[in-house]
Amino acid sequence: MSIDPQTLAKIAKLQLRARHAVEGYMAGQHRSPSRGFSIEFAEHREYVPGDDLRYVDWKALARSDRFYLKQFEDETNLRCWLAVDASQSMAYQGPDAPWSKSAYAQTLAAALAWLILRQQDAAGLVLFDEHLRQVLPPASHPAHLEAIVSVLEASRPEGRSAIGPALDALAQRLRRRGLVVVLSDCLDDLQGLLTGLKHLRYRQQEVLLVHLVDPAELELLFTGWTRFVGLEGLPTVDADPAAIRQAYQDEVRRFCQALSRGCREHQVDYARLRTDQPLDEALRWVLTRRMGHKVLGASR
Amino acid sequence: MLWEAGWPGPVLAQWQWGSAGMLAFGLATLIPILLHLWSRRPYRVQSWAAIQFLQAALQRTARRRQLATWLLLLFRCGLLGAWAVALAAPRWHSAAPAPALATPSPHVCLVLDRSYSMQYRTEGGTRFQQALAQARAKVDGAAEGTAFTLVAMDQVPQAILARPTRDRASVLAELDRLEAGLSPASLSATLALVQRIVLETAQKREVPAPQEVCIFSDLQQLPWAELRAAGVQALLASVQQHAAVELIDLGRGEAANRVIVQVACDPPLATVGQPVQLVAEVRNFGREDRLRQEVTIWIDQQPAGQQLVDLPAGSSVQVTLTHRFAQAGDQIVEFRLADDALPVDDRRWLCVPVRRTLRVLCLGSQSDDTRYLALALSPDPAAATGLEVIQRHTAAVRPEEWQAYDCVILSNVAGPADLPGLWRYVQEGGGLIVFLGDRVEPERYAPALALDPPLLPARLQPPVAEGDFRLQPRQEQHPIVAPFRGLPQSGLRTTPVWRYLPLEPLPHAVTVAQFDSGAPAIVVADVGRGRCVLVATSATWPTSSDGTSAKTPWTALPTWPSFPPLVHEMVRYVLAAGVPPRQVLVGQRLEGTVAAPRKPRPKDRAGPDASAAQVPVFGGDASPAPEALFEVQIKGPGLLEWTIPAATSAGRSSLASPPLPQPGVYELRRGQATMRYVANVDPAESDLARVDPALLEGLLVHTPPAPSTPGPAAARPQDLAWPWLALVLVMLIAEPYLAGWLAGRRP
Repeated sequence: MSIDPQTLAKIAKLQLRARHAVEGYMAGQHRSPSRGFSIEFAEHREYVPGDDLRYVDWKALARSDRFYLKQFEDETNLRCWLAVDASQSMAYQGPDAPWSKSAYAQTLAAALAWLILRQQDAAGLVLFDEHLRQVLPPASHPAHLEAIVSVLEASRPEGRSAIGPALDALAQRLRRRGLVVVLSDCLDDLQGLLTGLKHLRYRQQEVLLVHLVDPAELELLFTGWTRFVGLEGLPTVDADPAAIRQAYQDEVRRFCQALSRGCREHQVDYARLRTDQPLDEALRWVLTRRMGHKVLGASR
Repeated sequence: MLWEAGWPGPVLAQWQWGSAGMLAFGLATLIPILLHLWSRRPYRVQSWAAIQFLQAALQRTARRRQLATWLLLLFRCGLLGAWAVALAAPRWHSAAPAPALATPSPHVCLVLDRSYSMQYRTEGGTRFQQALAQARAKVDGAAEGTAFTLVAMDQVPQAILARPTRDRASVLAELDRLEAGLSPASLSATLALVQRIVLETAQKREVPAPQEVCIFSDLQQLPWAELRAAGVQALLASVQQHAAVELIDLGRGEAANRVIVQVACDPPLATVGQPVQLVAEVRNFGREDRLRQEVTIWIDQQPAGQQLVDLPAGSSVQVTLTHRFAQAGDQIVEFRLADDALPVDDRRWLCVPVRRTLRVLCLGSQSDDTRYLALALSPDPAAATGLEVIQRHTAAVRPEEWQAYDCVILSNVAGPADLPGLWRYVQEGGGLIVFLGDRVEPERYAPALALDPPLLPARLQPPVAEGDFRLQPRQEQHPIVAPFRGLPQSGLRTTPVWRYLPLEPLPHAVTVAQFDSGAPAIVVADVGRGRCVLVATSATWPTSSDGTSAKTPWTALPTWPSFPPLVHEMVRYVLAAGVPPRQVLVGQRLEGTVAAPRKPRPKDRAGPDASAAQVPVFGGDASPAPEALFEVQIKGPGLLEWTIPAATSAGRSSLASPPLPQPGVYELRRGQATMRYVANVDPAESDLARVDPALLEGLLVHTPPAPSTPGPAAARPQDLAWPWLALVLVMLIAEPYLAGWLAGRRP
């Protein structure tokens, strides 16, 4: 049973929020949490459509007439980087949203860290805006969670966005294969962003892009003439939202489609989450993506 | 010139405006522009991260939004423009297009007879109402582009619409406002006005255009008989040179009318308690006898009498009422006839000045000279005769005292004292009776004859030798001697006269009675507004202290039974002249000299006689008041009220009121003093006999009254104000929906 975001947002402590989110997620799962993030610890796991055919165990297929994927050792020792966008745009909170994108990202990152560390995998944290603001290398000891949470709690969304260059900088630092989960609103140059993601992939990282959007940013449900004051030094725009709503939504949709298409091209998993969405559902989507299960309709 | 040349285009020519000035409301189209500018200011501020999407959306929708803004602005301006058009009351003529520029529009001059005979009622309403209906039909049925002028045929004709106008709505509106008058009409003055209008219209046009004069009248004899005059015929011919004249005859059929022609009071100056004869002449202008016609008499709005009279066709009957006024002041007498088809002349008013007493001054050299006069005028002081007789010695009269008396009798006075003052007194309405006698010195009366007008009606000659003479009336109808007619026992013809002064009457004088020798005995003449009666013999009966005759009298007249009535009739006769008429005709002004209030005599102050405080409008004052301008308030019938300034000139103030518009009672007030006047309609207009057709044949087109046949463009202009208003309403309802749709939202 998921906890509604409005209630969860009222919990001040990030660690507590993350725990409730995880518990809510776990309550909806039929598997034991001890089974962890990478739930398949067997040497093989059953093939599901979409898996990379390079890892199909053809011998097992010959033997059993069933498709199995080889599980590499690294898969059970996950090194996960949680890259959280800390630019000013993440501070936006719409009139109907329970929390800002930044608070949502922090909570989601904390919950993911909790889950990763719980299964004795390593989790690290990167805060970025136009450059890497703070880096916590992955570690697997349980006390690392507190470090991650404290860094998240202390961060303030400020500064301009330059996601691409930040991801480039992150990619430069990565030596070992792992998983990079990028939590951002992606309000930046699309090509630059995709270039950054591509760089991460080049560095043999599995990348999961979590695109966080505020419902107001998606739908523009304001009425009456409005002066939109741009964050991060962007220009101010006066407009009648009703007059441009349809065009605005088309632009957003076009952007998301382009972003999704770009991620797909670069084999980056893409998930778009609304900040009014329950966090356990967000966790489920993220983890489903990681598992390689393509859940239909998960991307809105 | 463009007006005369025609509209610039056939489509525009089909439009008319009921109220073109309302187009000014088109300025309201500025309102939505201002609203648009005002509504653009933002009123909500929002921090925003996804600016790039906003900018992209704005860029994509820029053209659509601009188009929507312009469309909405255009719609709102159109809404207000439609409102302005609706207020201007447009009309559409579905007829053929207006004539081309080269063809000027026809001109029709409508002339409506406003004389009060047009108020004659028939089955179809009054003749004036029928005239209005005919005129309206003429306007509605006229060809497209016809211009109209409108003239009211009246005593003083008026050009209601002096310049040709195509605005039919204004012509119809003026016809709606027109009312029948209360005066006779003048054909000559009306034709002169029509001639001026027709000539001016013809001169202003570059191309000759048809003109028509339509006269709506009952063709009553009174104004139309003027056609006998050569001058009027010339006027008519001049009009016909430029316009076709058409008569719309509204007086067909038999018209019978009964009218009170005139009313009078005998004597004209009444006194309280004394009988007067209120006389009205009632005439029947119809061809049938009218029996038992009710005539009611009202005095100061109280019924005073009623009589039933038989009115033979074409004849007059007198209605008389003997009345005694119980109060002094201006009494209003009204005679009413039962209403007929022309009720305006069935009422007639009369204003009777009633005095408490009339003051008669008897002047003589000795007491014998005036004793019998005083006895004759007022034999019993206790009896109410209405006369206050004052006997004075001729030398005891001061010049300023003449105005205090209504009549002055000189008896056996050697010569008139204060001749200039006495002359002015008589000229301004006073009455003078002169009895001669043995003390008269004819040469002292000669200066009175040198005045202009002369004070006396005849020159005095030296007295004749003694003889035996008798009086004979020469003018038996004259008011002085008329009461004696048929009454031989009255003694007038048997009055012994032994001596007299021969009189040589002036050309303007009238000899009322003579001696049997043929010499004038009683001569009368008007002197200005007053009268003078000159008696050739004496009113003196000399007596000694023991009552016996002192010397030979000139005549036994003072002791004769005919003397009292003779003196009374003389006094009544001279007083009648001094009473200014208190009635005028409708349309006339009240004009006259206003005298300042007299300084009241001590007796006047103590006396209850209200007449002493009155301000005679037509009187004079020996000592004009030194005061300057003052005002007189006039109240008339209904709510009519004026304040008239009295202008001062040469020490005397005069006033002139506007023409009195209605019949009835008018009250003039200056301070505490009031005077009443009455206005009556001119009875000449009551004769509804039609003009001799011979005067009209060959001169005018005489057409029967029928609705004008509609011309080629018979359709009435279509009023499009309501459809435009309905359009405005629809646009008002649709505006918010349109605004929402253009903005991509619901209202």
